[in-house]
Amino acid sequence: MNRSLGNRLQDGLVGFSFLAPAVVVVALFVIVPLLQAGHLSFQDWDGLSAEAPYVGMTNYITLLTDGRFLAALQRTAIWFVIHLVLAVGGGFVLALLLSEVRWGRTLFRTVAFFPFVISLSVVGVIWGQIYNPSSGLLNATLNAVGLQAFSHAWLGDPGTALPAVAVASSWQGYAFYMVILLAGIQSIDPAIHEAAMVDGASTIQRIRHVTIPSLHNTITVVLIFAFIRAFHGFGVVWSTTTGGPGTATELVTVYIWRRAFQSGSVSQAATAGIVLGVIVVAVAGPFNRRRDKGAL
Amino acid sequence: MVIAVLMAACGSSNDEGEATTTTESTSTETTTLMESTTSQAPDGDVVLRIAGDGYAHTAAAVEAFEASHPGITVEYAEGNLNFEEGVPQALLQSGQGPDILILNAGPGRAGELAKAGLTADLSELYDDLDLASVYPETLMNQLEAQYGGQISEMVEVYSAFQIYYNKALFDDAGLDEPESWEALVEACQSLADSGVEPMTLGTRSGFAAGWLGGVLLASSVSIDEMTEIIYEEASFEQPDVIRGFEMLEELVTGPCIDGPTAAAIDYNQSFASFYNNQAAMVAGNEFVLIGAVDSDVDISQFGSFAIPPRDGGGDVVYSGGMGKSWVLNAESTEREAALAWLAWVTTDEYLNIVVDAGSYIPAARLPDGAELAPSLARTGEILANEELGYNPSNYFSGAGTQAWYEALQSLVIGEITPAEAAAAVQQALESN
Repeated sequence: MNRSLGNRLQDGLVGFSFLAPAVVVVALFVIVPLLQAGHLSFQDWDGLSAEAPYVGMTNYITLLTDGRFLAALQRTAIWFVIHLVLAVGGGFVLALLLSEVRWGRTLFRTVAFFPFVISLSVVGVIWGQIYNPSSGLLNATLNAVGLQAFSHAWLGDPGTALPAVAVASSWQGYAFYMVILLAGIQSIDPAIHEAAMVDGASTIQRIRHVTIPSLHNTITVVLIFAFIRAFHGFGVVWSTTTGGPGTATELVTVYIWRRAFQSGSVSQAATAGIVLGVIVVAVAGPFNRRRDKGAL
Repeated sequence: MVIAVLMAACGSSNDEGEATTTTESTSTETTTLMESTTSQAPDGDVVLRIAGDGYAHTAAAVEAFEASHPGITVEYAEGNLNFEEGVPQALLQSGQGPDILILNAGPGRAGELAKAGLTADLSELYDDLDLASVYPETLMNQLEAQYGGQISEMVEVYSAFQIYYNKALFDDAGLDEPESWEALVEACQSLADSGVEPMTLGTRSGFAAGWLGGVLLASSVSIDEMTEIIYEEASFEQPDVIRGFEMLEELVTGPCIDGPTAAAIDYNQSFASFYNNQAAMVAGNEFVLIGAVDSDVDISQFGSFAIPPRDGGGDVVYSGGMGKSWVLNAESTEREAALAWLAWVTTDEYLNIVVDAGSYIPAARLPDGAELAPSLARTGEILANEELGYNPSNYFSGAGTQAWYEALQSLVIGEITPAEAAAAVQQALESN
């Protein structure tokens, strides 16, 4: 009995020793900052002063009644929808195409994955130039093919700035979903497709009735990733528009940055960060639970 | 040294400097404060850590300082300490920050660090070195007006903002330098008719919007009035301020500036457009010409002027003032060496290095015979002979500056009115 208990303890210690580095890293870079942010959200600190008096729930009340924050939240939701359609949808289409490639598969996969390895700041600079109203590739192409009427200041118009930056961000992110979905597609038993083909199913019908249902679990994982990544969107926005023009591309993350470093309201920024985290967990948590139960 | 937080910001922040051409020269003086520094090195080797912008002269300056201060080794970490990105704050609060930082000057940035007790009081240094005789009187007045007379920054860069224009494009359109507001607007129309972008502006960079905004306010608001606004004795919602915003609105709704294009590009792209003869005018300080030199663009093709006032406005006034300042970390462990550096940067030896490199116009009085680079000559004349209006970005604190930039950006894209712009800035100033 003691020997069994001793063995179990030893097994546990061995297991913990393997986990310990990751636990330490998560604790240092996730848990501790999270707790500090939570602590800050109940204080009034400008990021400079030695004093940070406690203000109770004032920051939360101020935040949730701040029209600017609510507008940023709305923009972030729109950003997620665009991300879903372009990045996830685009990744799915590319995964389908890549799964059918016979020759040069590795080359095509490498090229298709390339945008994902580019730094977000570089992506912003590249697309900032593409969207340049006078010398950018997009307007130059439109002008060259006789579509001058569509030539536009894409990042300067509040109506087009958010979708334009979302396109840039989706271009950078689609490969992530493509890889996951491609792995899922390749794990589908080919016999199922063959059976469908024997029954006379077209390509579209096979995708709709075989591929997508078979990718159910993979798609739900991808949706969660897309949701979390969309709510983390900052890098591409900041490097293309810095949240402008005006507040047209001010996502919640940009709002947090501006409050912390430009407005000197670090506590307000911490509060917004906590609220953002709660929103993400509140959506992702139940979604994952239902997925685990097979209800999705 | 924890310099991991240093990161390059998107372009330079407001840099303002002033040069004078008086005949007296400064000399390194040994004072009661400096007895153990300038004339002799502290015992043992000392490592003096400095962080901030690197310039063409930085390496030579470090070398010269080390040569004249045996026993002190300078570690200069180059990077843009952008206050709006929280970099100097993080460095100073880390407890392991550099001894000296060079960053955006003025009460809105360096001043905020001083208010928080993160940087040291340099008033005694100013007295001991008689820096009041080294710096322009207006600059000293502004420094002494802050925080009950406590001076916590050593202004390094002093500059002036104006409108730079392409002489050839003006000649092609049959234009002279506009001497009135109406002439400026008419010039824009003529340039637009000739197929040239009249004025380029990159408001994606908020501070670039601030440059033009500052130039417009300088011509619409008197210096005395602006002083009251800056030091919170008057509201920003003044009719003269609103007129300045109306002038920007007129530039945007008229032929001068294409709002959506201005909002879509940053200052780098607008400068490129100006250098490539695609745009005839751009607002900025002498770094417009310094950047042109760095890009191998012939600066003799460019001229400059201040925005003429609109009807009811005051005299032609250039905006500008303090740009970058040295500050001393309040927790520096090498205080003597740091003070030695701060004293040395006002000496002829250092100033000659800066002038020879053509990096910028130092705030301190130039040595005898020092000749500014061609790219800086015109600004040097302005700083020597003209009274400067304020560049609000350097004087407003965080929320105020942010509101100032956003008001200008929103005005450029037609989202708000001039009155709403002034109100938004005033609200931010009050909340801060």
